[in-house]
Amino acid sequence: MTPVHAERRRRLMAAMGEAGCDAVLVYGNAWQCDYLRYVTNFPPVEGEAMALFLADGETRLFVEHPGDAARARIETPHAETVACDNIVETVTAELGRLGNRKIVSAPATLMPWGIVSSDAAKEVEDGTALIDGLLLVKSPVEIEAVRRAAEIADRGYQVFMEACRPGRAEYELIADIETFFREAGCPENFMILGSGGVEVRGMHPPGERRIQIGDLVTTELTPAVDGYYAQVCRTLVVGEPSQAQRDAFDVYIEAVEAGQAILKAGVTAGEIAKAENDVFRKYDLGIYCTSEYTRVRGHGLGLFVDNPPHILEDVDTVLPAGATVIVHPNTYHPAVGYMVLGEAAVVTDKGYETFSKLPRELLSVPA
Amino acid sequence: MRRGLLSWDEAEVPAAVLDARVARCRDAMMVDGLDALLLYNNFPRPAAVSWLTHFVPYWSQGVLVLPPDGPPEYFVSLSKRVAGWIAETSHMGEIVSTPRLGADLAKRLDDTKRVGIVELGRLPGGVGRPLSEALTKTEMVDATALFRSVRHPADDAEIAITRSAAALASECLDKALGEGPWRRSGALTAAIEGPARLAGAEEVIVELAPDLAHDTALRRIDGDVELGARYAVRVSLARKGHWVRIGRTPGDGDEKVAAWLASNPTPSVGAADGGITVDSVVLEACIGTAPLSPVVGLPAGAPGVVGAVLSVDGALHLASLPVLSGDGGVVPL
Repeated sequence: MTPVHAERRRRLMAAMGEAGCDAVLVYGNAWQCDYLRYVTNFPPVEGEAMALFLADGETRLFVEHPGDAARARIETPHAETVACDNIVETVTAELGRLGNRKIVSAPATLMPWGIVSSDAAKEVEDGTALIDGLLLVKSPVEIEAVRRAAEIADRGYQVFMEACRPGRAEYELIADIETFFREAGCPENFMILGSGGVEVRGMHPPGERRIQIGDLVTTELTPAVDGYYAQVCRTLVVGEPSQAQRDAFDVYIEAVEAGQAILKAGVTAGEIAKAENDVFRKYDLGIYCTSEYTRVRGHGLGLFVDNPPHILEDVDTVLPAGATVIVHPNTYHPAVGYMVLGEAAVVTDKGYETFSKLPRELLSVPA
Repeated sequence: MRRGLLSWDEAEVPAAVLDARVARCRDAMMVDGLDALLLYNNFPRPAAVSWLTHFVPYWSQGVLVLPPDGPPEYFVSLSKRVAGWIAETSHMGEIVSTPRLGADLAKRLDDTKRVGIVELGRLPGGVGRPLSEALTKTEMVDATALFRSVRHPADDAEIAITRSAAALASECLDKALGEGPWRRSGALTAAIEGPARLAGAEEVIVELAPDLAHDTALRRIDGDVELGARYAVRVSLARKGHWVRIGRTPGDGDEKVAAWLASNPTPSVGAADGGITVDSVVLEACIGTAPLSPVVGLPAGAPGVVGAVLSVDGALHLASLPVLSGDGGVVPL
């Protein structure tokens, strides 16, 4: 068992003790596995998996694919791997066998309906908040994993800049970066991008569009180390940036700095979003802080790319010391197009610490 | 997360092909008396929706609503700004971006009496609960069997794309292994994955059993580990929503195993032939929302993958091969 997983188990058992909880049922899949990974350290690569974690640490990991079962027995030897023909039916039956114990499950949004609606789960309570609390506050060993992920993100962005040449297709840029990450031993990365001019209103998976001189190219790179994601958002120009591009980007720099200026333990996600958005409002760009143009003004990071809290003005979650977040005022600018900026940070009692060493400026690559 | 090339080439998958697949579903819906068919999708479960619409999600989740007539409608948790990209890469009707997937679906289905949901038991609670609470007068039935009954045989477009995915996977794997010997997992993985992505693969997952002297479990390596004297590698590759796997164990016996598996694409456990003994076999095909699922036998006319652990003169070998279940039995794709 890795040190980081051993520590997570200790924290989980302590939290379960405080909550008077006898067992936790968690679900994960290849899209979102943070709850499952926190408890078992098992990452689904293609499909889905579930686990029952008992108060004494006994763990049963349920998988369906024979290949997943073989992998789980190697990667997660501390858990009893249960290979199922139908994971929903098997886990439902297992809940029934647990009898009159206090069981919680998480995350409620992803827990299969066949389990949720079963008689066996009638007394199972929602444990999402319990696990969310554990996911939010990172221990030093978890923060170290985020730091290493941030380092590899920085190096990945250098590869991205070298890859970003006129004539190359968007998907070819991603190929170069993924090649770098795999060589570096990094198995996972979340990445979207945008390329073009004022017509670009967001980022998306790579398409066949070819990079042109004068393009703004945006990306968020999000590699994972030991399951922990760190994100870096940067915007570059192919060729010399125009004055309009520089002026526009200054707003994003100011917004990141405004958000980070108040970032410390005790501040709410909403307060950070307001600080960022106030900068845009100051320049009559407030409309570009709405959901028509942007999703969030940042978010949590950890065992998932997009952990709570979302940095939005109506989110009152208080950030504790040890939370890892990204403050990113990514949105559309009417003069030049979509721009992004931000990097992972860990919240401390006195402020925050970032790990990225990339310059916080509008970058450029040779045309 | 899905981050390879996601695009729709109508020459490869004409809209008429997708319409014909929708029509197959509709015929079955009528027989079952369904007012709508619901198909959930997310990043690891994209296959049913992509088969009908060509849409492959890179993130988040959605539900395709297939009404008795008119184009399929897609309710998705991605933001409105992504709707344009969804429309560009797929063939569907209205796209409804909503953070309240279940609640807005329930409104859409308010006047229905009987709705079929593919893999109902696996529907996420965050979607299933609001549907169940709101649709008190609607019967929600599991439509998994209905969908499986129409999913195969594969049409020419699916077979052609699957075949091209197999060719790409094979080319990248063969080329990388030809550049060996490899000592580190990271370098080998990159040598396979990089060219595949450069050639337009939608997704590539390289898994290794890094030291067969220790175990035969294929896994995506987190880190960069030293490869043993004998190791196995499997590449799973997707193009346009269709997945294949090709696996090999480099070194002595590799070509013998490949030739034997090509001649015996549905081996039985325990079978022994010419110094080769079959230790385990897994057959996979796309039968629902997952790109590949274990199956007992391949559906008629379905592409699939056979994966096997074999012993060759006492040495373990892992191999995977894309196959097609045709009129003359199962053959290499």
